[in-house]
Amino acid sequence: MVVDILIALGIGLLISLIVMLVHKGALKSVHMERAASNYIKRDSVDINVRREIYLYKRVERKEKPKNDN
Amino acid sequence: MAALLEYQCPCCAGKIEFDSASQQMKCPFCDTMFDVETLRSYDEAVNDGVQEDMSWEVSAGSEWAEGETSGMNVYVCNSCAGEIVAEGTTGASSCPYCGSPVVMTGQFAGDLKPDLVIPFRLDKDAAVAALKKHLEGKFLLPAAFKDQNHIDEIKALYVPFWMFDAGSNARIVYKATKVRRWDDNNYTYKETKYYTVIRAGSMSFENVPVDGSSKMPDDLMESIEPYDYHDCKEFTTAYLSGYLADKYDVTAEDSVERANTRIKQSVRDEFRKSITGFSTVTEQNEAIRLSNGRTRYMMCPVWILNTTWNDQHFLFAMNGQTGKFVGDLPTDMGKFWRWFFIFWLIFGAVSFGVIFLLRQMGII
Repeated sequence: MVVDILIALGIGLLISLIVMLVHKGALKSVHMERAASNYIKRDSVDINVRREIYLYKRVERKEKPKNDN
Repeated sequence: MAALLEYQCPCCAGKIEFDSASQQMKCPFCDTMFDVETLRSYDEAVNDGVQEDMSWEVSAGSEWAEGETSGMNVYVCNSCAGEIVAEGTTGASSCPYCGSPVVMTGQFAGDLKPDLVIPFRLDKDAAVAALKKHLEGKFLLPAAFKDQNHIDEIKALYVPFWMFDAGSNARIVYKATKVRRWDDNNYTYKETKYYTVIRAGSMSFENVPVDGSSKMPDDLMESIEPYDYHDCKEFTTAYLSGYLADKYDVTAEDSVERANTRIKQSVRDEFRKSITGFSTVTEQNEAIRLSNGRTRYMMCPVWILNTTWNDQHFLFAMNGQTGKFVGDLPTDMGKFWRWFFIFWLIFGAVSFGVIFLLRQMGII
């Protein structure tokens, strides 16, 4: 029972924090722009080299836990 | 004498040697094997290509004609030392940035004449309405802040921008992986295939704006973008009638770095969008070259609203053409913590109820 209450309080804390941070975030509207995507000339994007070169591969093997019974 | 070719291991960057037993290239450090053709392709792909060049032609603006600036006065703010320009008939009594009194220092002279201007399309009433809308529905906004009496100043201001146009050629090399997992009775397997991915191409940019005023916060100006440049006109001082204008104090040369940062990021974003089907993709190297770069000096319309609240200064801006309104707002921290604990109790109780029900049903 105590464990369930602690888990429930933990979930409640997390959801409450997310809800309040979303509301706090709504008050911020000023930020630097990351890129200049609004200013790319229409139909000017031309990616004419698209190469994918396979180099090598690695295989990892992990033993499954054995059931002694 | 033929040049001695040396290949670097794409896996660990060690020097690769030919392994006569397997007839393949083998890295003595990590034991990875490659066929010769793969290594040659990899080497060509990584080393071949575009040389980085992000230089611009920055001869924006022009000289004023004789008599063109005769009716324009310069005002200086007593507090932040900001300089603004206004027609004699318009005048200016306070700084649009900080609200402090301004004094006229003389007639406007020198500096460059803007090439272009986007005229104001929205008036003061639209700015007031946009502010009201901006404050609506903000749960954590202090109630006192919503009172319109808290706005000290609303000013229409032409802000100087440097506009950058250029074509770009770019080549970006990525490291990428494809991961596959499977298992049999005794083992689980994870296969990782390693690739070199190359993208090269071109794209053009038009009117990338950079704020030419040091007093105007760059993040505020970038937040009210974009402007519709179809409306821009050749500059004449007639457009300044009734409005204030800021003088540029950040040169085009000093603005190049910001334009380059944004252009490079857009090139990366566009190229990255074309790579699909991999588990991970990491950029290895890039070279971006600009061509036909040119700069223009433009005045853009901005409504500036400023206020002080609890000894903090708040600056809002509205795009004078499109009406986009921005400005960070204060948080009522008392309300934040009050509702945080209320929600914690509510969500905690609901979560406990759900856990209790799941236990009763034997699901957990």
